[in-house]
Amino acid sequence: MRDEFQIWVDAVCEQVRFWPDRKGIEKELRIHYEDHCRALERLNYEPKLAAERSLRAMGNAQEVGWALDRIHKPWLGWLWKFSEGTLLMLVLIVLWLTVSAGGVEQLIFRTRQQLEWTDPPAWADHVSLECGDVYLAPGEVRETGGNVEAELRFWVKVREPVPDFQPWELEVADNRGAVSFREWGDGRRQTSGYLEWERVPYWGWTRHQMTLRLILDYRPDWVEVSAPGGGRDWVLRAEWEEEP
Amino acid sequence: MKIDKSLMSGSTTLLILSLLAGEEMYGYQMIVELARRSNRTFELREGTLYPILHGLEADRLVTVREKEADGRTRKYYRITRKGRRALEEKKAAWKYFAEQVDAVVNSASLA
Repeated sequence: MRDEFQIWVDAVCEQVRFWPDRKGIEKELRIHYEDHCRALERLNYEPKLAAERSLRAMGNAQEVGWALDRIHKPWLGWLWKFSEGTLLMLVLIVLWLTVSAGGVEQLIFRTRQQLEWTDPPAWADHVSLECGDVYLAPGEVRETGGNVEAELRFWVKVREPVPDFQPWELEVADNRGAVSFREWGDGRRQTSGYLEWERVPYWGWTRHQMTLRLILDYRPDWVEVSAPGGGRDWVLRAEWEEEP
Repeated sequence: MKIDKSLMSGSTTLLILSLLAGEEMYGYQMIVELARRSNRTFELREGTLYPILHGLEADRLVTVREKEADGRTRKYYRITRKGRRALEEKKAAWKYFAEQVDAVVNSASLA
C-alpha cells in the first residue's frame, strides 16, 4: 500500500507545473498520510486497512494536483527564484567590490571622506614596475618638541593587480641607518626609529597615496623606501636640501 | 447531522484561520482538531486542506516553519498579523451573513 501512496503522490505532483515545489509538496503529503495511518493503527485498524483508508481520505490525485498547481503558479515561482538569484548575485558583487577595495573598513573610510587624488609631482622619484608605477617625494620637515618630523609622500598606481606586489610592506632606511621599519597590512610594526604611517583616502582600486611621517631626533638627508614584489627589486629615494 | 458540503466550502478559510488563531498546527492536526471541535460536523478532506493552506501562505496570512516532533519533521502553520486581521474581517462577514440568513428563515416561518 505504501507503493500505492507513491503512485498517488506522483499523480498529484505531475499536475504541479512548477517542479521545484514538487519535492516539498510530496514530503508534506507523505507525512500527513503516515500520520493518518498511525492514528488509525492506534485505533486497532489492521495496517493494510489503515493504509487503504488513509489513501482514500487523501482524495482524487488529479483534483488535488490541479488545486495545488493553481497556487504554485510557475511564473510566480520562477519570478521568485529569479529574484533570489538576482539578490544573491548583488550580494556577491558587493562582497567582491568590498574585498577588491581593500576591505569593509576601507570601503566605509572611502565613502565617508572627500576623495581627492593628488598627482605626484614631476620631480618625485619614480619607478615603473610590470604592474604599475610607484612614486616617492620628500614632504615637509618640521621641528616639534625637540624632535624632527619628516614627511614622505608615497603614491602607487597599479595598472594590473599583481598578487606578490605588497606596497604596504614598506622598508624604510635613512642616511644614518638609524631607521629600520616594516609595516604589515594588519598594523604590526617593527621599528628602531619612530615612524607614523597615515593612510590618506584613496580613489579607485588601483591608485593609493599615503603620507609617511618619520619622527627622529635629527634631520635626515635622505630616506630610501622599498617594498617587496612588483617584478623586480626597487628602491626610491627622497632627498631634502641641506639646511641653510 | 449531515450538512450540505456547499455550506462549508465558503467558510473553510475562516475555520482554518480560527484554528490557527489559538496555536500553530500541522495539516493532519488541523483535520483532527476541526472534527473534534465541531463534533465531527466538519470533516475536511486532505485534498481540500493543502491547497487552501498553500494559498494562505502565498497570501502571507500564515507562515510555515519546519519543526521536529516525535522524530518526524512536520510543517507547522502559524497565523500572521495580516492573517488575524483577515480572520476578524471574515468573522464579521460570517456573523452578518448568519444574522441575515436567520432573519429570512425566521420571517418565513412566522408568515
